[in-house]
Amino acid sequence: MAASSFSLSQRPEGQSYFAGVDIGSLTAKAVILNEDEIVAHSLIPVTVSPEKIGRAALEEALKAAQLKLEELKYIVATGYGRISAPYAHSTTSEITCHARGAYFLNPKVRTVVDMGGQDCKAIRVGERGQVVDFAMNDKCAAGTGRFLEVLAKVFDVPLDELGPLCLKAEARVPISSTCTVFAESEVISLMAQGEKLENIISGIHLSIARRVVGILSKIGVEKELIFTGGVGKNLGMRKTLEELLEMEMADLNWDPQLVGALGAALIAKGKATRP
Amino acid sequence: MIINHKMEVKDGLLLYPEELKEPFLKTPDLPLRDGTRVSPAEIWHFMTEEGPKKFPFEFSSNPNVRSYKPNVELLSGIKYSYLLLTRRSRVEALRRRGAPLVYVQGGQTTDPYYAAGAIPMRPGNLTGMADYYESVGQNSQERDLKKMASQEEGNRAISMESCHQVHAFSYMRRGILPVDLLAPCTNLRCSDNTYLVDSHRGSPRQTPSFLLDYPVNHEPHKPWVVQYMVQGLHRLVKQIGQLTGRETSDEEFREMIKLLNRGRKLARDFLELWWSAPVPPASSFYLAWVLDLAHDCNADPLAAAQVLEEMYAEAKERMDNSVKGMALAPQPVRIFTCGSCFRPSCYLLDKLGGVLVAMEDRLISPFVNVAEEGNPYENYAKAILAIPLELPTEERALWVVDQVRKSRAQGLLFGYHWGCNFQSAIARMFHDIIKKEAGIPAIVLEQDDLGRTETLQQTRNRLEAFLEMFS
Amino acid sequence: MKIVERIREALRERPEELSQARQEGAQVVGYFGTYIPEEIIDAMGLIPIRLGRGGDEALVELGARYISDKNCVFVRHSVGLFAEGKDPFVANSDIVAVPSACLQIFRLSEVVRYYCQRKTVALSVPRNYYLPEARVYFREEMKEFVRQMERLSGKSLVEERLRQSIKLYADIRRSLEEVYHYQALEYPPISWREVFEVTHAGFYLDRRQYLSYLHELLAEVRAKGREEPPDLRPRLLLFGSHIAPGDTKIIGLIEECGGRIVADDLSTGLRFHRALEVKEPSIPGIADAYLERIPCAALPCTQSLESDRRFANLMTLIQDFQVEGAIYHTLRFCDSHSFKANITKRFLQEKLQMPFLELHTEYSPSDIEAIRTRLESFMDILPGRG
Repeated sequence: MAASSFSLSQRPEGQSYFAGVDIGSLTAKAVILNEDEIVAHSLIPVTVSPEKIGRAALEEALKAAQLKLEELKYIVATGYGRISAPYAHSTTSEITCHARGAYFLNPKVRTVVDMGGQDCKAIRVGERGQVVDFAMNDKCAAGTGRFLEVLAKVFDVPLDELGPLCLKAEARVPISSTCTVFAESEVISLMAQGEKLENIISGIHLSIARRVVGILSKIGVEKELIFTGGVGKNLGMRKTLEELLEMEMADLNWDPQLVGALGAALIAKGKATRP
Repeated sequence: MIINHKMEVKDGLLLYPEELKEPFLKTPDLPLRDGTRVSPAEIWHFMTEEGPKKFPFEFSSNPNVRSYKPNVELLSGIKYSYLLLTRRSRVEALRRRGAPLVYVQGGQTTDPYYAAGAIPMRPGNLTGMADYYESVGQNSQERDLKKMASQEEGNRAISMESCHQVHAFSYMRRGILPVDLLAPCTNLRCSDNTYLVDSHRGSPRQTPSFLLDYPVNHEPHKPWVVQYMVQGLHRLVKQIGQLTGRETSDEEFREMIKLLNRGRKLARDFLELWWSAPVPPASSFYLAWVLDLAHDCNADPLAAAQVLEEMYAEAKERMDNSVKGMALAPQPVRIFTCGSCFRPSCYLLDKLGGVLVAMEDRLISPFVNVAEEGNPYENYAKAILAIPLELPTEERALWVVDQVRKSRAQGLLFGYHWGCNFQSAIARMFHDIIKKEAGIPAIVLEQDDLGRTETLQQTRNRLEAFLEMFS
Repeated sequence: MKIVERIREALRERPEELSQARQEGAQVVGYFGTYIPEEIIDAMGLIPIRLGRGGDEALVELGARYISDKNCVFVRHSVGLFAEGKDPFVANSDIVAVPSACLQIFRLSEVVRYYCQRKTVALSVPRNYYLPEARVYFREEMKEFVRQMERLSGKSLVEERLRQSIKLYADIRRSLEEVYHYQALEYPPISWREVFEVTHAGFYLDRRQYLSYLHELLAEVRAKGREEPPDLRPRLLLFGSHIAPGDTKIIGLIEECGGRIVADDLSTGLRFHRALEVKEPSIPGIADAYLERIPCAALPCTQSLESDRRFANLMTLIQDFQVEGAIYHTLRFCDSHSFKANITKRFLQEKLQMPFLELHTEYSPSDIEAIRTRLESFMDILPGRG
């Protein structure tokens, strides 16, 4: 979808540019704004150096926007790699960024679930887009994007096919979500027993979704609920969460994986205009 | 005189600036419990020459290091650090003179132990002290590698699911930590501790042990609870007597209570000062130091009382002159921490625009006031049975709500360490009561890096996000 | 066995019976642990039910929303039962009573009081249970417990009824002890697993009715001849963390791997009725008896292993039941048992050269294959018997 469909408050003259860079554990994302709209964005997989990869994401977005680094008035870095972003003027945690990004895309949002590579976060958003409460997973990969990635490798299917496969399931196999390593061996033995792939995948989605609902229950869910982060693209996960929560999620109409970078860019714009 | 100095950075170390020497030398001697005194000149020499060489990790200029303190605001803080860095040698000297080193629970006050001539030390301090044996001359990373290996060894020997306190037992098992008696209170805020003492029966190195039973479901007014505790205290004092070879009189117990009450009152006064100032008069770590020192005295109640007195006077002077903490934002977010074995990095807290106004597990001491006349065993038992942290969770949370109002706290962190079953169990409940009754934002943090020199990103990230809520 | 079938049938009808009784004004006291005296509850005219089931991972997750995921699996599961509200025994409990032996169970009572608005009573158990002052203390706490129960239920404790209740429970315990003896025989007329199940039935059924079932069971067991060949599978002791009704994971795996449990030190098994004898028909007499029973591992001990009553009991069990291998089951975050795993292993190996296997697990099925591998290897090292 066209990025320009989002309009920021109109300003009569001049074009200033602001960027947000979100350096996660699996991907780096950048979003560039001018004073009115989203100009460009990028997403690249993380290799080794978080510093290089953040910069590479930013450069890709700059290229798409036909801009130079010097033309950016303010840069905010977020994500676990944010501390190694010397080009950024300041840093903000992903929690604040996801709230801001989601609020911009849908001002009615009151709850955000962000599932990234390392973390799952439940965020309550106030009427002005501010964070009013949040809860996160314990420090363990089970229930995060990494969990799905590990299992996609076991099934030998691309990560983005997990969701569609989940939706094709006829039945659900109970899978434990307590530990990524154990879940992997559980899945292998289920496959050896000839269990249908789709059913196992559906079971995995259910077990992760249960964990996420547990985190959400600690802050309480209020409408609208928005699903962001890399796993936000997974329709199977979205449906499973909706089923457990007995409510529908609001549409984002944008790439959920870029919401953190968008929030960072919005914060950058705010910092540049109200120093 | 008001001090507002930055530490000097040299070769990766933070060093005291030379211009502080002159005012520091004018401060009083530090009296120690063995009857000797240390002059400020000796302290200055140690803290600028010997200390940085032996313990570079305590002087690290890496801001991720937990002990990172880039400024000096109270001269008495140098004495606090001196007590910390000399803890090991002081304990060794006291042990040579027959004072047993006793393992106690972190959440308890220590009057009967000191009265009986022992050196009570909580697991965190014991581990810290053992680290000093192990890491002379090492930087923070070398030290952490060694510490992690050591902690893992304890986990393997006892349980992978133990909290960080297992580390002290790992050292004891290997004979690195010369503990003479294991005698913690049971239950007080923790369950891992007593199971660790129980499992130590299988250690290759045996240590005598006694558990002072602190009933978990107590009501302070029940007379039989006080009596049960009094009998336990008598056993404890006798057990220490078997190691020292001497008896403890009631008069000695009363005298020790008076001395510790003095430190506790100073901490209470300091806290009042801190809470009444528009912006607290020093960086957050000074509050943590005062509450720590009043709580366990760093092996020397006499020295502790002296340092607390100086800290109070200096802070008061700053406040009277409307000087705020150097590292603090103009209007810092006032943060109250709850739970036990939880310690955010004070440097990080200040840097993110916050300021520490209270730590629940260190509020025990300022609010414990043992009656000084009459039967010291009974007085002491009654006083510690009333510790708010040990009340049923709802009452405890409402007490905290009251302190939140008094301290004008704006945010509350409830923390516990990985592996803790007892505090983690009520983390959510406590958090929900605070939000409902005090109406301030609160979050639960699980910390798993307390034994480490550097704080970890996971902990930093959560703290950062919490403080961003206020901006 | 016919009578076991009838007990199962009675158990199925029990929830309905309880609801009925409550409609007619009866009150149910749901309790946890091994220190709440049923004698007192029964004598007050209240119905005691021992709460807590196990085995359902979804309930563990539900419970962890209120208590923490650093709490033991059974405790999380139990909170899950309260949060879900479907377990008929939890649903029918008017008062929830907990002892403070296991601190996690104590926390459970705080959490369900707050989130599920339950009336709770806690009985404080001294941790230095072997000291004389602890006995004085526990007698006072027991009196306090009675006062609390009287206040919450509006009923009072009558001495004559207390005598009758004490007698009833003494009979139940004696019968269970005897049944237990039969399952361990070389030609067992009943299996350990059936006895375990029958013991659990005693947590729920009307205790007078239950006693008559036990008498019938004994008659049936005594009459049974040697119809089948001797049971020569390796004789195992199962002990460690709580194995609640419904949690069949480890027991099932042991059987699948060819092991035979002949003895246990489980709070839901033999330890529930073993060495518990009320000598004085009074509240202090009951307090003394419960304090003198084989202690729960949740109570720490600093005595030497040789004089620790828990260890002494293990030695006796192993000798009396001719145990050939010991399986120590620990639930995730059950510190009171898992911290003792290594000292227990060393003690049993040094004193009795007893093969020892620790199985550390939770309710999720994810580690079943890993446990099977361990159990199969363990069976291989046990002495062969036939």
